[in-house]
Amino acid sequence: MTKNKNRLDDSELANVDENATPDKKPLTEEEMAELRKKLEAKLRAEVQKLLKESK
Amino acid sequence: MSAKSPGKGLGNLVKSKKSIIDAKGNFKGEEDVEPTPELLAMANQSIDTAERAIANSDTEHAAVYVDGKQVFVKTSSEPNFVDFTPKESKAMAGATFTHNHPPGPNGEPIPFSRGDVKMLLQNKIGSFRAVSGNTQFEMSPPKDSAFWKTPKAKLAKLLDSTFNAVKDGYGYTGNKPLPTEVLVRVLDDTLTLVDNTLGLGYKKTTL
Repeated sequence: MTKNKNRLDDSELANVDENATPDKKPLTEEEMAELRKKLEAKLRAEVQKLLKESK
Repeated sequence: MSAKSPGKGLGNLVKSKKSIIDAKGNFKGEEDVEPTPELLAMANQSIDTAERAIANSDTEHAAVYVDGKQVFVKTSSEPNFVDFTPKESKAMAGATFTHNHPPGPNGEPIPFSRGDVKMLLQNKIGSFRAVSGNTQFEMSPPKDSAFWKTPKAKLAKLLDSTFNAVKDGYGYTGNKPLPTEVLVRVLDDTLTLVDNTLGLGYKKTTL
């Protein structure tokens, strides 16, 4: 990891392996949609907390 | 810095340089790198023309605009980063910033990295753009967005936890590299979720 605070660091975009395979069975589309809903609810709760703290 | 001369004090308009950083992370100056043809094609051009010049480049370039006027263009001549001096970073506040992501091996447009989102917050950039292949990406958080009230460390934590949970959903655990196609989906899902909740003003446009 760079120590340069002024670096536009896109190194994660180069960290790819086209032959990598999943470690476990991926969720179905319906299950992914459910996961996104859960994550969004979790993020919303975090944002509400943040906004309260910033008042 | 006056509004009439946004590039004042920033040196040359066209920059092909990398930072020299000491072991403690302090900025110690810059070293020259080989300029690219794309960098020269961006100079003194509108943002749309500059983006067309770099959309399919395999090295990363950046440009900063204030009120539609180009302030500087820069490359590290490397594929995945561009360095800025502290003065250049300061000049990005409220400005329009654009850069490119080299497309994936099958021409996949590559969306914003987590590093991009952090840089947007850190430098309080008005409009943050990226171009990759046939797609332009943009983040323009509204002034009253919760995004601007998020501490940097908290943002990093939210991005990482969301990214990892989505990645897990696609069946990949741990820190091993992902195939480009999966990385693109994980980043896009992460950006959409953070946009829906913090207000990134995230959009994608096919060119």
